[in-house]
Amino acid sequence: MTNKILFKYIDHPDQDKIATYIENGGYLALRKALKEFKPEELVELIKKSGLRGRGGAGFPTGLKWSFLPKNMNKPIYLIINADESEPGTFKDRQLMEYNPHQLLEGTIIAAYAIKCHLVFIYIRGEFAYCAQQISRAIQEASSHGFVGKNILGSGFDLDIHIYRGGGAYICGEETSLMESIEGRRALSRQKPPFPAIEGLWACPTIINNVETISNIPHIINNGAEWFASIGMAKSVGTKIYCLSGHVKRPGNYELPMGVSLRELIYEYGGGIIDDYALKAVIPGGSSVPILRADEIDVKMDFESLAEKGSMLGSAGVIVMHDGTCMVAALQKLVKFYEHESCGKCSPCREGTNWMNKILKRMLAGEGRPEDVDLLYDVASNIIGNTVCPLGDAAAMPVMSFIRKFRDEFDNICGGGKPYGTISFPFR
Amino acid sequence: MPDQVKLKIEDRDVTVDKGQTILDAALKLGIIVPTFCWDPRLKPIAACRMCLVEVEKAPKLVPSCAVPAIEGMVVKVFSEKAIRGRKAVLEFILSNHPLDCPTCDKGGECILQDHTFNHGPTGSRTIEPRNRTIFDEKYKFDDFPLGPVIWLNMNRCIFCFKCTRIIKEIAGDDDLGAFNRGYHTILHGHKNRPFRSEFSGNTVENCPVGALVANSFRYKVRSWLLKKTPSVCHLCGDGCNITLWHQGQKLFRIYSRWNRNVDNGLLCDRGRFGGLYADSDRRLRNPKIRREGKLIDTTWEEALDFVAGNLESIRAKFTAAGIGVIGNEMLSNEETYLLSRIARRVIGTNNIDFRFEDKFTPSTDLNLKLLYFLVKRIPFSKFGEFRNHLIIGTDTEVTHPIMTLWLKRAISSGRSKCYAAYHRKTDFTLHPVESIEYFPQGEYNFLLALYSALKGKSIDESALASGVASTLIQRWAELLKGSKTLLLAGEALYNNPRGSENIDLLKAICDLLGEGSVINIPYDGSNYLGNLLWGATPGILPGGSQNDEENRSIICKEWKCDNLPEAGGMDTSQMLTAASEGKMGALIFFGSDPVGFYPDREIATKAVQNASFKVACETFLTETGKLCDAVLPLAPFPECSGSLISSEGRLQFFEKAFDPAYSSAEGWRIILRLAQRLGFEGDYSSPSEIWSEMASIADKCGKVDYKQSQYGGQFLKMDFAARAFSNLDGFQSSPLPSPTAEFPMILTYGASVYQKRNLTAYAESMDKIDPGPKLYINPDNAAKMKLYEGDTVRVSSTKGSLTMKSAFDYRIRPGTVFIPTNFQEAEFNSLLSSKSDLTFVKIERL
Amino acid sequence: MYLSEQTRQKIMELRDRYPARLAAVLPVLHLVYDEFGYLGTDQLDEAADALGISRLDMNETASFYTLFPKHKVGKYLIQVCDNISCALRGADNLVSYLESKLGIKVGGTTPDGLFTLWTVECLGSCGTAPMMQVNDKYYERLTREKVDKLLEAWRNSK
Repeated sequence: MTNKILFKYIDHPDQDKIATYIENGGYLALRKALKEFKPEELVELIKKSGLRGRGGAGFPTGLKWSFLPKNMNKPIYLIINADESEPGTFKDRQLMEYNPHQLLEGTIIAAYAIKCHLVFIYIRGEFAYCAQQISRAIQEASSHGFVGKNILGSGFDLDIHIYRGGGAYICGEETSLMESIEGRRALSRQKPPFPAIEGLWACPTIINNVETISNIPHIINNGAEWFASIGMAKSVGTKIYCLSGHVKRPGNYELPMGVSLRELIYEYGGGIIDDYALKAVIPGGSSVPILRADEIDVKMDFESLAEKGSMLGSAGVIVMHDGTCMVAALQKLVKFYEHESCGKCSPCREGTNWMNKILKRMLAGEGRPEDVDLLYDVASNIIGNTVCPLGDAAAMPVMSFIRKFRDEFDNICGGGKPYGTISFPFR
Repeated sequence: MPDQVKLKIEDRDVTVDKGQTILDAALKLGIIVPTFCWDPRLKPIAACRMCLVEVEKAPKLVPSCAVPAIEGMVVKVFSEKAIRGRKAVLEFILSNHPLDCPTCDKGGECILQDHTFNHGPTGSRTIEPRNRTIFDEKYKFDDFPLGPVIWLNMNRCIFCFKCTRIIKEIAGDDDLGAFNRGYHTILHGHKNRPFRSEFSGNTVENCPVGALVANSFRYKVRSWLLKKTPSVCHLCGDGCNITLWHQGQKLFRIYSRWNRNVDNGLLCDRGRFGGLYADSDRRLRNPKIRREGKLIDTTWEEALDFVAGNLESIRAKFTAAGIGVIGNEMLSNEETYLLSRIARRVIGTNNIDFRFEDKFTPSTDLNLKLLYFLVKRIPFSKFGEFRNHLIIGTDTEVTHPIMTLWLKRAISSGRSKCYAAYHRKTDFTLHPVESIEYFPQGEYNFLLALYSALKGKSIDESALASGVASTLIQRWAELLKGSKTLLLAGEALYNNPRGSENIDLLKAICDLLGEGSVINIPYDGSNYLGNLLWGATPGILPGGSQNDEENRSIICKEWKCDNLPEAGGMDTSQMLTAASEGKMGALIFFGSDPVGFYPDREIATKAVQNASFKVACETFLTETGKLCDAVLPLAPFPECSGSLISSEGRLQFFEKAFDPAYSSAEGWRIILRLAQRLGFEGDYSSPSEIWSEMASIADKCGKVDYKQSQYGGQFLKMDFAARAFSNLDGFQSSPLPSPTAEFPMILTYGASVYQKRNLTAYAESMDKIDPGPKLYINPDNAAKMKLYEGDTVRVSSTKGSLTMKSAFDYRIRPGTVFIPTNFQEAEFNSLLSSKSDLTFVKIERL
Repeated sequence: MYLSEQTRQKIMELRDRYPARLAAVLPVLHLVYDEFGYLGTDQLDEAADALGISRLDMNETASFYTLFPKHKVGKYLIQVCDNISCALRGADNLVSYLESKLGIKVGGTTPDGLFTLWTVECLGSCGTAPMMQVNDKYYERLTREKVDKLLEAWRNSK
């Protein structure tokens, strides 16, 4: 637990105040970046560090930045994606609440690196306190000359807008997020064109996750090699793992990439509550394929999980013990995607609704034996046919739940009693 | 070629422009990829996913409508993966679509049916009840009226969003939107306002399923029972290409016939729904003649003999100069030509005109100037090539709805800017258009100010007289100077006491602007141009040449006669004034209704009453017809053949869909039979025979090259001698008269956007769209008068007074009020006097 | 006139804050929501006029976002997350507990207009489940005891 980077000062009560932040070495990276680096060199540095996006897809951040067209006369925008709403994920909220300046510093450096002069921090609408924290932090930072005109005498200008969402998971998808900022219904856009070429108001736009950006000051301070040396070969740095569900100590754990899932659950999470046995784990937020109890000896990084047929996603680890009914659990997920589908493309809009209807029927004891295959088929028909990844995100858990827990589905559709429940006691 | 890319689709090579999509490339090869949400006029959104195809090396299927073709791409449309993908998409779309095809009006022409037949799954795997959106909880109705003409059945909607995109992207209106999210998305207009964009009908035509249905077609007939006849819309000068859907002698609906150069597949509601007036059962059914003071039904034989006999005796009594013919601008070229021939050759008079709504009928000199600008005409499709558009003196959305869409397209493409000057704001000026509102009839002063500003002269006086801040005019002059500009001159410029000077000023302004600037005149009426060209004014002979000695001899040769009446002849105003003083023997009204529309009801009524004999040929009994001695039923456009020249200068032929209903007859046949009874020896069996005679005249006059034209519509080539335009040095601003203390408001009037005269009011849906005459007033003025919306008011001028409901419209210039002319019951023209330029009124709340 | 002068002023200030005017829609929705606790068509129309955009656009966008109630709700809008992580910690029973305590069903409002009970999707508080959001504030790691206390306090604050 000594290797914490982002959460290093988690126990400091005043880390959200600029004085404490500066005391703890804050804004040194910004000074260094503005003084010692040209924007292009920063992009190279981030490329070299191996930093990958923490929002879910794990795309190399430096590479994303380098896609921006050179010598354009259009403005470049940077959007910080703080629309964290994936079930099982709650890291960005804590990052923003406890250490807003860390995010801000990273944001300013990133904006400098990509020559952007207007940043939107898109904060999920429900996170009112986060918005307050960030907004206060921006005020503090501008009174210190870190935001605004001619930052620290470098000639670099930057404006940061806080943009609060309105309660729509789809806005975490980058094209929907841009539609949302543009003031329209946030229906996702077909890619290409990719945001780096044609994004916000058809201008080049970079969208980065809160956790990704929060890492940047540390990379500047300690160097790309330092960062690259943490974690695994391809998945470098630390990762905040969000542990929730049936564990004794749920919460956020910042650990180097590649910690084993077993260790995470049993050592950090303290094991399963009420002495139940482990049944299943969703390792990367609700959208990723589920793992059975016998599959938890896996390293938690992008590559290792992909090998196991799952994904690191946003590292929202949801643990279920053996009193859980997997059909009911799946229905909870599917109803979420039905509720959050933007409604633009047919497979997602109709498919999520259809899957939810089938699952509800199964839970009501009206499932037919052929419904399990039907459900699987519906899900596989959604995958790859939608505008944005939300359709895939809804279909992947369905397919993996059925693959791994087919007997439960067959049982319930054959008229059997469910193996468990989702209605757990509230004490 | 760097701007082109080569790709392979289904093992065939194809080359397309860079930026074109895979779908474009497939279509180029004739490979049909099924689509729902794709429309060449709209930005692709890739929502329906019906057009998924497989691209080699791409991990997923890609929507061909939105993904640009890339060099070296290998596309498979009919691979197993692609077919499976599209089948899956169709299953999703169908999973909640109701199975109400037997009662759905779209059945038989539904794209979802077609695609399901060709690409869809064979059975249904949904056993759950299909979700229903019910709008009326009490009666459990699935559909409900979105607005006066459109019904929405949300359950049938497949969310292609074509309707909202057409309304927003093309029409630029904000009347229809998508609400809520995901599965619960519904289409709806604004909650507090019905859906009534003037382009709303296009949503119905382009809806791939039966979600949007027109009121006038709902539960009426199965589409496959209908015959389709190509035609041309008669309700404005745009000349949109339409298809008439009819069964027997009943017209059911009007759809677009997609002329990419004219309408681009779009129609306005006036044309689409208003055109159904032809189907009204309130039409005149039989010829009528007046016996013992009453109009009674009779046979054609008797009626024509009666009319011919009376005309003969009038000619003997008053000479031919005592007879006048007033046609209208909707008559086809053939009818106009024949009317001109009967007037000049058979009756022997130059008293012919086709304008009866104008207070200031243009003189021959002005008519010829207007024709001169035809030499250089800009097709709608080239509007985007102009940096600026300067629109003066017209509400284009009313006079030319589809041309306005081309303007909007030019604006939204970012290539052009629009400047509109009129005496009020219009719907069009709500779009990103700079607008100036001058005093009613302030065109002359405005043009003079703009001209002076361009010349760098002082404009204070003229700007003041036009009622516009001089800085605003200076600004326009700055912005327009040196740029390639298209000047669109509206009817208010030439239907104006200073019409001729206005056109001179316009020409001078055009010359001062950037290279390539052109004046176009969007004539107000479906065949205004044809009427000018084929001799429906006293001073211009058929073929478009001036009525002088030399040209008359050319016509004489063609018509095989010795002489034609000498130049002279009266226009509508002169005829009506003379008749009202009892100086006219006979008046022939051909589709015209001066009592209803001439801007002086007193004179028009007196004229008709005091003429010794008068005959009206019309589709519906008009106010004029009621006073006539004989009324002949004229068949409306679906029942006639002929040709029209649109205001763009496009000659378009149309065929009749079916024979005239009831006992009505085609216009050319009525004129011919009458002419024969008056001694005309020729005969024609069809409009095309008349056309060949016209063509030979056109040849001799050398003004119009008709040979270029053919069915489907083509630009006429025209050649008119340059006109002498006045020297502008002496032009002085002329302050307009001010309202008096007793009559403090200026009255303006004009057509309403949904209506053409009073014809369209006979169409079924139109009374719902535009329910009646109202007095439109600026809310500021109303507030001062303590007037509330909907109050009944009395409007009075020195001539008379009217009672009507008031409505607020902030587009009306303060100090003026507006009355739409389309409602006969309103008798708007009883307030007007042909003797004064402007009409002042007072408003009293009752 | 629904909007207060203050809100109207704030909306006017947003007009030119962003590169395009439409971008101010979501911030305006928050302003209206802050003033009324819900978004009604009338209020939205007025806000659209004040911002200088089409009323339809404003209503369309507002309808997309589920954060804002579209009708008047109780003084305390209780939103319980019943998504997977919270469900694993007893969210379903928390909902029934609240239902019985308040005497209303999910979606309902108490007759005194004090409470409205909704279930919502993940609120990003999975590590501290079960939880609920009441108006703008999160209440986490709930127990029966905690809920009782909170309800008591709100009832008394009437």
